[in-house]
Amino acid sequence: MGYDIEVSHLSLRYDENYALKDVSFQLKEGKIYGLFGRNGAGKTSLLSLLASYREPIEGTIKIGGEFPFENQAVMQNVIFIYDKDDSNNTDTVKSLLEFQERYRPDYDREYADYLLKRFDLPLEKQIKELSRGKKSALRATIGLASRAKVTIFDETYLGMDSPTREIFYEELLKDHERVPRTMILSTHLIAEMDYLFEEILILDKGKLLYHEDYDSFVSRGVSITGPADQVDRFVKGMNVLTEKQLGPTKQVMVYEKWSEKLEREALQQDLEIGAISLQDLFHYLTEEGAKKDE
Amino acid sequence: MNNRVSHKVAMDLYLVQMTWTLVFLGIMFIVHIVKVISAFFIEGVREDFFLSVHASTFVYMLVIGLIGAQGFFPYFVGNGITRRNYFKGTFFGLVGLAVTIAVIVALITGLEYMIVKLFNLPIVFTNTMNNVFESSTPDLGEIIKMVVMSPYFDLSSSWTLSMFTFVLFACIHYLIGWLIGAGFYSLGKGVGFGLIVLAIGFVLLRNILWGMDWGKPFYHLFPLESFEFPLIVSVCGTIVIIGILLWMIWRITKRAVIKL
Repeated sequence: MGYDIEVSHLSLRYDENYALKDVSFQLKEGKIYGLFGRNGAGKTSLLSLLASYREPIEGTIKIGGEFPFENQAVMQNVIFIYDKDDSNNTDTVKSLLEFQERYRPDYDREYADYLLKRFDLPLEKQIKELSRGKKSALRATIGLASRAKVTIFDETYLGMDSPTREIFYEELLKDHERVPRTMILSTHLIAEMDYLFEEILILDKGKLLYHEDYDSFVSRGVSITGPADQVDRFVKGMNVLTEKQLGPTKQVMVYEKWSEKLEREALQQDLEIGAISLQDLFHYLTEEGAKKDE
Repeated sequence: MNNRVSHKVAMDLYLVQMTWTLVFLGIMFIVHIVKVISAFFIEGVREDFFLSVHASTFVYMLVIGLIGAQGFFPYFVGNGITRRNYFKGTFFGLVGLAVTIAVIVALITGLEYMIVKLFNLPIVFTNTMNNVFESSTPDLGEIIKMVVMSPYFDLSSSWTLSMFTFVLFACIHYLIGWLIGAGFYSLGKGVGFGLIVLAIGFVLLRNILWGMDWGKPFYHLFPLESFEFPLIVSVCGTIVIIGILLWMIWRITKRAVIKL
């Protein structure tokens, strides 16, 4: 059974407000996807539907060609890791891992033990006694060692210090290489995680704004710097994200399908061309959406 | 695969709840021993263990049913177990739990009678329940008593009926806790409180079916005497109540949203 994900015309309403509106996309099995969106964009709603935490009412979700909700074979192979309130959880680290071992068909105990050492997690300690960063590290351990065919991490880094986050990203990448599977990483720390993503999805106000492979998406974000009137002429008709002017020099950021011809033209006009980071691109693109809505 | 998963859930829930139960029964046993020993110093008749833990076991079952609905349900389903398999697993785990408790309580009771007889100890056990309802006005204490007290059949008159009803009533109380817990979790406080009222109705109905003097506190409002039903009607009626409770729990939980 393959684990391609097919989401079709998915909407989710809380009373009269749409958390998700007519979202459709397909995710091929085995890739790492980045899911971005501002607060309240609908990321967690989408992920909770994928993980069968709630039943899709409007639209459909299929995983491996099957409806996942109440489908034991699929649900066991989808793991959703998120920042939950564990402040009263008296279970030990050990018992939590044993539970996963019992119910996750591809759980790897040796790998879990290795990760426990890497994250310096105490096996016998109660969850409520762990610091926030250690709790997140434990969730990362569970998410990775479960080796679920669809692994969803929703801001799993919360509370982790920088070196721990580095370990998490490193292990995630290494393990994905060893055991390729679909991973969906929802994050606000786009800048430090951008090298992980093969494809990106951007949600804004419940709608899917973009779903593309990382390289082509990022290649469209270009900054053009030069004399103001020349820059204005050059970017006419382009999708301008933002512009800054300092004296006679202007910098414009555009989101445009870039070609060699355009690049040649820019160079001939002595315009400086630069790349835009994924983080900035996300920022400007969703800001644009926000402005349009106002 | 479905069966295997629900069996695992049943076994896991049985073991966890059995651990709690052993602590609960241990405490009840210590309290009971203290009461029995006091019989040496203060003359009086002491309840046997079966009668002693009768009401408290059912309250205990209600509480763990409630905890399960609020804690185990989101945990299991959130970790990839279907609502259906959780439901089946919880029910089978419950049956195992109720039977085990009944057996443990019966064995301890049998043992205490044996010890008293063997050593010819000056202890007199009673296995009959006193008049349950003293007041004929529906004050809160009487209402709570009506819910907490269950029809009682002592082990010596018919141990099969006694054990069987103990298991049935333990299941009913657990299911009521589960129903209320599921209602509060999935449908909010309004429905949750409504289900508490409904649950009291189920308990009273069960008590009527088993000929309990249910109406005394409400005699002014409903001048009904207690009823006598043939055993088969009481048993079937109780099983129907269990069926209705299970059906309601399933309706509430089969599409329940797991809260983040």
